[in-house]
Amino acid sequence: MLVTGTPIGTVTSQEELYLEGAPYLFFQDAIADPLYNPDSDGYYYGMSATTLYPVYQVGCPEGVTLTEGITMNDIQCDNIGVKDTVQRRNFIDLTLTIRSMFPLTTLRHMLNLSAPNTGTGYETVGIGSINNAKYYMVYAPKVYDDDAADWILFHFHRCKFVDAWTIGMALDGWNVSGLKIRAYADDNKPAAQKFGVVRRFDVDALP
Amino acid sequence: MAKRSNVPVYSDYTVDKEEPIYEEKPTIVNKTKASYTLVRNLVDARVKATGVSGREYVWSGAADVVEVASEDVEGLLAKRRGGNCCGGKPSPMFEKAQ
Repeated sequence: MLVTGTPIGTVTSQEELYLEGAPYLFFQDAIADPLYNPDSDGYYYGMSATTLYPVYQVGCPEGVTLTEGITMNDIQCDNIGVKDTVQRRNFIDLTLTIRSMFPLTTLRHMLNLSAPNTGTGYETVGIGSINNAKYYMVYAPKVYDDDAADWILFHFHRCKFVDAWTIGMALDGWNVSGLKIRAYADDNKPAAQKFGVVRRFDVDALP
Repeated sequence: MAKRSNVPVYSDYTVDKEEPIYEEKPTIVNKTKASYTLVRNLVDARVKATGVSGREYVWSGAADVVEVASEDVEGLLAKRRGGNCCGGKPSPMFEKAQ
């Protein structure tokens, strides 16, 4: 018998499938309904642009990372030490840098600028106070097999562009760094998906 | 026989003709009622656009609807914004509202 140390019983191993590259990023006013509102399993995700609530695509993102903010409280017993850790999820953070600056009518959402004016040959936005009452849905699909149409999506229900941005005006190209999309808990969604949803579409792997 | 002098002579009888009255009728101006189309703004901004007629239209924000003269409609519906970055494509600025 070959000794491998494998546990006995049902073992689920991970797939030989590795993703590369950033997903596409879209955002829309959180007042709008998601495309699946909900789907047959009760999940809320996807986007459908409307006249009143257009969908914006983030142009040329780089360095996209997704992380979370949690609070960890150790349960420390003075006689035996830490016996447990109580965790609470506070938010999800999606950080990125973008290379595309225009149109300003899109960029202004990411930089928390004022409502724009536009006409033939111009667009103007003001740099004023930040509107703290503005929330967005964020939708990030990533196709990892074009031929088989396999893809994964992240959907966050209630987000805001937070933190200070920096516009790098470098010789090798401008960029906007420091962009951070923070996803908060949405009380109107079921508790199990109050921050968002991850969904994978893969017929071969999920027969 | 002597003429009877008490018989009136009507030799110079004339009938007063009334001058024809020409009524001054108002000039009829064939006003063609201007044709308008309702056009909706799809850009999330206050948008100002000038049509081929020279008329200027202003939409106060996304989904705002404005009456646009027929000759200006086609040009406005052809306007596109945005680019081809990263899988995107230019999108129309306006659409017909009806």
